Amino acid sequence: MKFKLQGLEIADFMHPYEEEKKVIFSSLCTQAIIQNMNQLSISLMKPFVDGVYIKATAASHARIYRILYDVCEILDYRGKIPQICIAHNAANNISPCGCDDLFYITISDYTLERFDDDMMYYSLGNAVAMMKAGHVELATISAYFPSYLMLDIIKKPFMDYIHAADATSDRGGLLACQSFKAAAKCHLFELGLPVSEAEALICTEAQAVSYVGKYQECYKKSQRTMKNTVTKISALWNDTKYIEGAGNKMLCDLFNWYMNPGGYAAIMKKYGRR
Amino acid sequence: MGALDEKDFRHPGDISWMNRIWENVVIEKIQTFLLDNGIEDVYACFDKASCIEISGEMSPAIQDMLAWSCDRFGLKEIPSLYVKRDYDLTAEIHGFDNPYIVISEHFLNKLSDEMLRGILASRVAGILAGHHKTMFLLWSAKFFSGLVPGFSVLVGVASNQWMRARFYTYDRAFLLATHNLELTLQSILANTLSEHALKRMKCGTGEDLFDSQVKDFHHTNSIPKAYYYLFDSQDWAPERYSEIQRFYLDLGGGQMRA
Repeated sequence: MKFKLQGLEIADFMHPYEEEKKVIFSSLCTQAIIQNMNQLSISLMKPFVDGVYIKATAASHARIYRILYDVCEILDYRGKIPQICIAHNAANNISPCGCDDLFYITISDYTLERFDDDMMYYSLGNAVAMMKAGHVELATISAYFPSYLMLDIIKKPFMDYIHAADATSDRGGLLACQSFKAAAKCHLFELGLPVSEAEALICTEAQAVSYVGKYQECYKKSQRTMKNTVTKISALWNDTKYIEGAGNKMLCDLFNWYMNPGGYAAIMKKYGRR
Repeated sequence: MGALDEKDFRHPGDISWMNRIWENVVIEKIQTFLLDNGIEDVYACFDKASCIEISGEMSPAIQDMLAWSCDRFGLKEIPSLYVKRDYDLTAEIHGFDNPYIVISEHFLNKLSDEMLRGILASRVAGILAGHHKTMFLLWSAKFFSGLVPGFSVLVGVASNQWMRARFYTYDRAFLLATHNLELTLQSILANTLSEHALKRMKCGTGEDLFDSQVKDFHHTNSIPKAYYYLFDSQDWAPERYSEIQRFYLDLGGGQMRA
């Protein structure tokens, strides 16, 4: 049974970079642009949502809705419960969309078949944390940015913010599932490791910490060898092109927050109620 | 039971859009070029190289389903069946003079025997209707239209309507082959939902869980819808759902098991 985190605020687990940069989006003009673009996006996507995705209900998909209700309670999310839509694709894809408190969460059928309950808690927790933090609208806009070298340079600060916001949502996911093992499996799946292989490698929380710790060491070692200028520019450009931050960085960021006494453990101590 | 005729199951949209494509003089020229230069053989060679054939020895049960389907729809030659690793694919008809069916490994694993029989029957009906020839022609037209700026868009707009309408024909053929409305409706959702979820949807009953989504779709703003209709070939599950239920009622509804 998971702890309910009543009174949890986004500021409690916000990534420091997001905290630093969020002032960029606080102006009324920026807020208006974000709002209007999201309204437009919803109108454009609606035929797709209604015509291609399949809307799940508590009757047809009891398991998912049970986990979603629980996640909303754990993270103290007080908005309207989002609609869940099932999409047929092979991406590890759980994405919240929408705005104005009318959100829906798209889950790929591939993910639905393979993720166990704790992994669903993590993924849905990530989505609900995005909704709670107001990231959904910004992530939606970033999906419409064209990718072009010169434009990528201009949009870099925005993409850096999006990745930091993503890191905040990862922390929200971990708070929802309260299992670093599940969080690690989700991230490793995104990096290419099949769920069945991850289950064989990581059976306990301690094994998850040990495995990701060693992964982080390999990652740091590879970073130290990447001194070549072209490689650095390439890494920088990759970081700017994609809405998702680099998978290895995201996993290591979450691991560091989990291991930091002032991070995950502090929040559980402060808010955790059964 | 006598074999079904094309007019029993072909959707009017399928017929009219297909005729429009074939009446186009450019399409006629492309067809002549393809046949004169043996393009079908090249295509089939590369296509089949990425698939595995399901022979009669491998699966007598599936072979029996194909034979039954051909008998039901009056198709003289049983088409070959290939399985392919392609998550986006369900079951398609390939080839021109020598049609064959390609089904995705993911879709094949999902389907119950009864549903597989219906799917294969619908594709056999598609062969009878000449869908494979149109598919092959459109594939070639899109391939070559890359050489002419703007032409690919024109080809796409015309073909997208037919690509959608052919599914109405498949659904009708599925219903006529299986006599089971619930199964037919489930087949529309089968690529996305698990077998357990499909059962819980209660398709075709008074408690059909998909009905509200069908209503939502029909009330969606027409401007973005129009955009997708023109420039996207995606088949819309709510439309297929409505179409087949209308067809079922036209056939006399309760005479078939629902």
